[in-house]
Amino acid sequence: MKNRDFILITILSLLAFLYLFPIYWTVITSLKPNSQVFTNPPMFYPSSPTLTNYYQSGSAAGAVAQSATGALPYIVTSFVVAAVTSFLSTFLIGAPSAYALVRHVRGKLWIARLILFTIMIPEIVLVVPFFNIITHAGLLNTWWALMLTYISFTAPFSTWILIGFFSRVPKVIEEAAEMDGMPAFQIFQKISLRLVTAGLIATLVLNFVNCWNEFLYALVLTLTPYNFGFPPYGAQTSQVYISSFIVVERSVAWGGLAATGVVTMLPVLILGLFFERYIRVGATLGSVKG
Amino acid sequence: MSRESLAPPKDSDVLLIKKTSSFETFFENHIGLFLLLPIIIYFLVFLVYPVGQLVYLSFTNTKGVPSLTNLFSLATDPYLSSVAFNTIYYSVGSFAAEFALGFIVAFLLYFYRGRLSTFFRMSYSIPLMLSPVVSALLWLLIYNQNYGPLNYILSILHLGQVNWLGNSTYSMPALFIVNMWEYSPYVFILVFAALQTVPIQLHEAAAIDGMSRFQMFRYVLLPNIKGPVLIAALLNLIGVLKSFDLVYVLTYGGPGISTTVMSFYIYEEAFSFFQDHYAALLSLLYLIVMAIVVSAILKYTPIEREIGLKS
Amino acid sequence: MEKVRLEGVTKLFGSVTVVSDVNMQVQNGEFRVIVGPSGSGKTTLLRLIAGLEKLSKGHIYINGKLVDDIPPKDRNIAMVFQNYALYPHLSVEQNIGLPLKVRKMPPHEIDRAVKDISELLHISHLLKKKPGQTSGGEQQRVALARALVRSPEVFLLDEPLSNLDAKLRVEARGLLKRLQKELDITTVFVTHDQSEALSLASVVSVMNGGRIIESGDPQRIYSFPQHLFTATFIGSPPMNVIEGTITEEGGKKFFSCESLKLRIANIYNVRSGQKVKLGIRPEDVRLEGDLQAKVTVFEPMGSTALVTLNLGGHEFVVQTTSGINFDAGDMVSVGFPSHALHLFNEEGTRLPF
Repeated sequence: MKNRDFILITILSLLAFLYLFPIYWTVITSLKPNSQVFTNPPMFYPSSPTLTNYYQSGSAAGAVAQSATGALPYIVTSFVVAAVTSFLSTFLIGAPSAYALVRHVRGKLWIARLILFTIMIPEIVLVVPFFNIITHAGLLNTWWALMLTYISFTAPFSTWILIGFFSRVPKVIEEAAEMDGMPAFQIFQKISLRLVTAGLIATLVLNFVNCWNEFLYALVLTLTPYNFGFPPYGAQTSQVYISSFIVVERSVAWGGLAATGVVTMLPVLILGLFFERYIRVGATLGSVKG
Repeated sequence: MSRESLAPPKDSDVLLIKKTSSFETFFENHIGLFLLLPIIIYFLVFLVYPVGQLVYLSFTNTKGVPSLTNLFSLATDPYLSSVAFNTIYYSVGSFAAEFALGFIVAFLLYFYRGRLSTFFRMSYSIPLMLSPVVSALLWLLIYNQNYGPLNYILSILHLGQVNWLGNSTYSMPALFIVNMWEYSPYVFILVFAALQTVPIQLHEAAAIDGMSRFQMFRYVLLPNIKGPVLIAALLNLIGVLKSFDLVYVLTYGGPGISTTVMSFYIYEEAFSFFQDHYAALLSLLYLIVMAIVVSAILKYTPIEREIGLKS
Repeated sequence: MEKVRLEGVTKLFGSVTVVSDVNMQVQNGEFRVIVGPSGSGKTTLLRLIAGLEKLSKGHIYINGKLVDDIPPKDRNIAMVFQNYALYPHLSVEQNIGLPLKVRKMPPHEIDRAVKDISELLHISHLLKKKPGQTSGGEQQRVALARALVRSPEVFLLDEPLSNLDAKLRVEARGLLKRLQKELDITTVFVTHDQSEALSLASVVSVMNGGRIIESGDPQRIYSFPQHLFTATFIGSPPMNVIEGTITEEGGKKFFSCESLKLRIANIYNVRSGQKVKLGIRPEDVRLEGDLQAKVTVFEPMGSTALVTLNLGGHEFVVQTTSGINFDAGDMVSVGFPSHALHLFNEEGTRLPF
């Protein structure tokens, strides 16, 4: 059996390498001085690694340079919008709806279908109406625009995940509370909600990641970066920032852009690492029986 | 120990008739409704109203007068068939690549059971966390025709250079690869988790019965994970049909219109050519097609029975 | 007045009748055990009394007041569930105190009540722990404490001993019986274990197929069952039953089947040719008499032994303390004393005199 295991390990290692390589490549690109980014043959290891891409800012003639620090207003926006939307969607919409659907409503099949259909709607389909609504409300290019529209995909998603968790709370515990005299809302708030903390964490994290990674609505509904002023204005996210240099300005200081990419990836990767167990359980709960 | 030492009931009457306000009792009795209120509001504001607006825009002209001019544009659109073809090509290709790889990797890791298992599992899950925009950035560097590591490796293997993003034959496959990289982890996570729920005794009984690994795969493992596999396939398919970000950033629909899928086409119509009424009709059409596809899948696969919803 | 009264209580789930026309009166201080096989509807009946299920037909009265539409928390009853249903995220102390906290009792009074009941149940040392950190037997006592802490009018228990291993079960039975007597609390206890029913109850109700078959004190239920189902369900090993007919010869009445003919008391109100069922408990069968049977299985069980006999095709189980070791194939004499015969008609009710 040893030979077979050896082949297996080799294949698995190769796969791990392939999955991790693009990240590795970008990280080392961000550490290369601009002259070394595009070479022939390409350098698989930076010979003189430097952090200048991370803190230098300014522009060079003929090319627009940016570094990671120039990305700060965008990162702040991404963070605030993701955090707030995630929190609101999970606690204000996801948890109450999931609980109500599991305990107080009949017809699980139709509910599941309805939520599935909601999740199925492509973002692009709602972009045109959203743009009109947001513009008419005078909220274009504000954090509100993003937070409100992001609820459109985080809310059904939160409900879907939390339904899986709430349905695993043994009904007898809630009945015991009912017998003990607890009013129904308190049962939800003090008993059921506390028993699904793993699910709440999973939902919060996944919502955060989905908002952080969102692109289309941010692209369409925002125009300028956060102005650090009061009242806050300008709401372009990190994703929009990166894309603007790839799509619009095609000659770019790639080292700096790679650095911005690394900084944009970092929170999400850290969350993924820390909360891997919660994410895995949350993602699979809707599908795996038992 | 006498009974009096235990806390006596507050009322001597057995039925504690609590004096609560009528609103509180109303709230309690209809708590299901109140808890569902946020999501009902959400549905009305973020779904019903926007879709209503889509219908309105689709069947009016730019002056707001009801008309069928958009339908006429639809019928005479020269690009529509290419866009439809591209969308199908993109979806099927990406889905097949994502699903196949994720599925295979899940089984490979399942048969491994070694000490590095956790490391492998986490490595395979990572790309899923990234956004399509960031993935596009990563792969843009790799796909670079002259300086990218991919072509470099190909040249070492004497397989010739490929203009990944500039050649309309290779632009779609370039997208498939990125999707495969980014979303096969989702299939992997679901299938792997499902495999772990197969009771170890089944596995052991099969081993004692002398089954080869392939037979175990076919007769023991596969039947027991049908539900999660179907869900993974469905959610993956939906994800790939919704896809927009990657196409926008990596290829911008090109070169030419070789990678213009429906979502990108709608975006162009709405925001590059300012044809928001036509874009609305296209959006509506897209929505209807998606609904039909998902309904068909729900109807013709045992998916709902398998995940325990139907009996 | 009775503490709990059920009138025509019926429950349907869809088109399935789970509880059918149950009438029951539980007196103050009574320990009523509802016993029956799984699926008999006993848990549903308990939940109807608790108010966790809504009545399809009939009425329930507690202390003379109609409680049909009154929610569980207002009925002043307490329940212990089969899996205890303790709040995993709260400490034992908080678990027990919760019913009082919800009723807005002042904190120092809650503390006192919790302490008192914990002492009574010997769990005072566990108060700060979480349920997950305690053993099964301890969890059960916490569940009992939580139910009893507010001195409910009626105490409901749904198979609370099923999850305990044999030794703990015996201990818990003793504790439960003592507690109930001391606190003089009206108790309704549901179980599928007939030995539990006999040892705990002041009144036993046998339930099957959604109906109460019969009720009575344990001794009477055991010795003089009115119904064939009760006769075979209560008692372990179960009563032996044979089918046969009544014959009359010379003014005497007999029970006849292919392999045996037994004299039965003349006072039975039966006709010749009537089809009946005869029952006799394993411990009542004598290993002496006119009939011959072959031993098929011998099971020594310490002080007693179970001998399975074959008499003309019918199998009987005999429980004996004789100390004799039998072998399969031995022929033995058996007798059926007439005082130990139970006769039932075809529908299963005891033959009248």
